[in-house]
Amino acid sequence: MNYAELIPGITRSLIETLPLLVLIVTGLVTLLADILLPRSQRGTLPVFGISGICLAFVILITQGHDPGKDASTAYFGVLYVNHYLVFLSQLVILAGGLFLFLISPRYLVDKAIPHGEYYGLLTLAIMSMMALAASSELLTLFLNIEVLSITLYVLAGLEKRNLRSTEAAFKYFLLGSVAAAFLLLGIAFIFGSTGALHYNQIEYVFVNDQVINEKFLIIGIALVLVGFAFKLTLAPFHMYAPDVYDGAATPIAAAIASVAKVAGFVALYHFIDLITFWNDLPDGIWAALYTVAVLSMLVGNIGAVVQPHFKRMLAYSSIAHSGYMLIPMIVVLKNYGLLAEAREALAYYLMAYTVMTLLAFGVAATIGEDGEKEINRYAGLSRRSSMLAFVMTLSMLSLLGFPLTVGFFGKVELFSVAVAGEHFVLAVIGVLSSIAGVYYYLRIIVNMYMQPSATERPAKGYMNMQNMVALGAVAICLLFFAIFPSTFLFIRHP
Amino acid sequence: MELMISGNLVLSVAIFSIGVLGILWKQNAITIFMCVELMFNAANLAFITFAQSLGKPEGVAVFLFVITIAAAEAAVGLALFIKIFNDRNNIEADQLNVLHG
Repeated sequence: MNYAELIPGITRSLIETLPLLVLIVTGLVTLLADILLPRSQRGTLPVFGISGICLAFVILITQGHDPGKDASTAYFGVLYVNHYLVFLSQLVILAGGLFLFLISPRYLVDKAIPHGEYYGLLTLAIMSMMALAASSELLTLFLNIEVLSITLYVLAGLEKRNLRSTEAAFKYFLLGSVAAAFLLLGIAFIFGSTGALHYNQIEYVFVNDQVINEKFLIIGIALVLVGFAFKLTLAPFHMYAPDVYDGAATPIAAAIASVAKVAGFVALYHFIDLITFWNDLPDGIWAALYTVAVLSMLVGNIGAVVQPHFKRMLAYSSIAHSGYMLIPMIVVLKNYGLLAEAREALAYYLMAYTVMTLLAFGVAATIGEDGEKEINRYAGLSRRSSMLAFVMTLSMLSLLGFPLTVGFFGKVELFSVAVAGEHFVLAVIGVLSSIAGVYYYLRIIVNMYMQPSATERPAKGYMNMQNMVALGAVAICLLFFAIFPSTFLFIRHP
Repeated sequence: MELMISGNLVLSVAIFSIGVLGILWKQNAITIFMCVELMFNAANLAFITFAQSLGKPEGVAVFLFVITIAAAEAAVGLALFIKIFNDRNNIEADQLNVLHG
């Protein structure tokens, strides 16, 4: 084999994945700068991450998505490039990462979390999320999930003085590792029954009916889906989510709940898209996904209703939203003709979910101690800080799916895909279970506006310039995409 | 072309099942983590078995990556265990109950 022939392909791949490379360099530079900078100048560390993310964002937008060309792969078939859903999700992940960087500095100082590790690992986590969303090969998928998970285990446990943080990291670590082991065995069985790891090669095997052992393939697909269900906190594999969100630092809980889930769902979408090519796919897989989606919606909504604790309530709400986001996959498995609609609905809902979840966690992180504990501590927030209360109201109404918010348009898209695929029961369960949200999302708004203030902490303590800019920008995104819902799907070439 | 279910594969599934049972029954964090490692290595064995019987070298390459990932995970896990042991003098998983509700 002549290695010189590989060089053009590698050069092309390096250019196409430039945003990822920028983030890797940024993460390593941040970790190095933490050691080299004198202690007094450690406050400048987030500047590296913020500029790296902005640079990656600009490069990604400039590269754009060319609808005239088909999706291709970089590095000889391991990462998708010029793929519509991947491009949109990477934009969302980068924007979410920038938001996390802006709200973190004051939080870190308050909780005495080490800066260097935090910013360095967060940059690398954002990189691996982008790579995970683009994975087009099973080993790359596994490696990216693991790099993402391992950085998140460390980030969840960084608050060293707090027992709750360590315990959250411990639970996340053990259950995450078990999920990874299931995923790996599943990949092994898929490899054993198709003889390939690349999605396009597996697709070739499926299309030409060359599956070696169907039983192994079914076991493999089931194990991979179990691994995904663990990582995406789908019921009945959701048990750790409330504990982890509760114990981890709020910006990290936000990352786990929003951007990491976006990456996971896009990776799951690629996998589901792949297995639809197998003609003999048993109905059991579809039925299992259906059950998991329904269970997640029910468990999430019922759990959130009885939950007095804010971050735990958001954890249950995110379980329910994971259930909603599974709907397009279920539809695609039965009606492949609806792929385009399902993909657009998923892309829009992922963006909407990220925006509203980040906003909710962002307000909690800005308020600090009062925002992270029981819901009744939100009492009278409107009188202490009217802007925070307003932003929180926006986020809660969107999560609820109140008409004319991003959450509403997202749910309409999802449920109309379900109806188009004639899954009426799924759509009805989705609508009915989201009605429970009226109780627990509105409870916070009622607390903020109609209850007497619980604490006398002055409002000035909450806001600083960075948090205000970050929250304001995300709130504007939320309003903009609610007023012009279709603009998001048409971000393509500049 | 029917793949023979070789002894290696049976062994791999057996080790994986031992790992799963250990996670369900044991309480000590180190033991649980060892069970997770068993599961990883069972998957590695399955990969190598498949690579052998299919004549595809990718399967063997996978195991090198997995070993690296498992080492990184062990580093993070053991650091966490040491931290927990310093705080509480034991690492029994069922005694970690600060977070509940």
